[in-house]
Amino acid sequence: MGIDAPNLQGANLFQVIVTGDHAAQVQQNMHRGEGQFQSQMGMAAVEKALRARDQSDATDMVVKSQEDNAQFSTDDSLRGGGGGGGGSEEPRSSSDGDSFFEESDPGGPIQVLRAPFETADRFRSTLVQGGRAIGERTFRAIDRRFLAGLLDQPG
Amino acid sequence: MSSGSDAYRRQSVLTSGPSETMRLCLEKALREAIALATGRGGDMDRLRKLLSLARQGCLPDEPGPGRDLHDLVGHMLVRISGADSDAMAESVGLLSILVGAIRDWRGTISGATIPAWDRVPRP
Repeated sequence: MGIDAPNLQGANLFQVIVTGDHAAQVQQNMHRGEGQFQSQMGMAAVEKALRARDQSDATDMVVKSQEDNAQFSTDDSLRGGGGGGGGSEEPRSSSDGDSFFEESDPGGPIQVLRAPFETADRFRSTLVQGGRAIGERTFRAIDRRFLAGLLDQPG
Repeated sequence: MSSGSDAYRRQSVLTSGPSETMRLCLEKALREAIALATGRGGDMDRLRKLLSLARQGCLPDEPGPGRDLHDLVGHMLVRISGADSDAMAESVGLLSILVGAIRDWRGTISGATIPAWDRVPRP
């Protein structure tokens, strides 16, 4: 009896063997793909864990970066007055797009006053005597979202 | 703080006018300065941020209160960044005057809007 013929139970041995080989190849490929998939999953899990850790660190880094920007801004302005950093103003570069130091500063470099309390008293008397209209010439809208964020912090 | 009062505070911060925002900013800076001056916590970075924010909220284009406030906040920024131990106490004093001035000014405005009882014209 040839192989390509039904046996006593009616099964075609050739088809059985071919089908078995094909199934083995498919299963082997599946294992290979599964292994690759599992390795990719492992890498993804590791990457996800690292990313989660990075995100937690990144949050701190963002805050620190903002604080550093604020410090740098202040210090740079201070150096601008003293000539240490070469700049004369708070940084207004486009790279600080999310910073709140974006407004133009027509007031010039900051400096120490000789009589700060006299200036404060003058501010008080001028403001109180000026009435409602003077408020429009004294204050302008500041980034209230940032202020809300600061007020949320404890302390 | 309850969530209701916190939400109210947030809303009041986001909807208040420039003068009220400035007052809140300076009051918060005053609290930070007091905490730092008395050694009861406080955050120097936050104080600098608040002062920088207050400086941003001034209109120093011409001589007047805007220029004075701008110069005073800049003065405090310089002073607290130095190593002078009296700087924080001085900033507390200056911030107290500034906050009180804005409070008095707002009281003046309210007095103009709602006249006192004895000044109400009688028929």
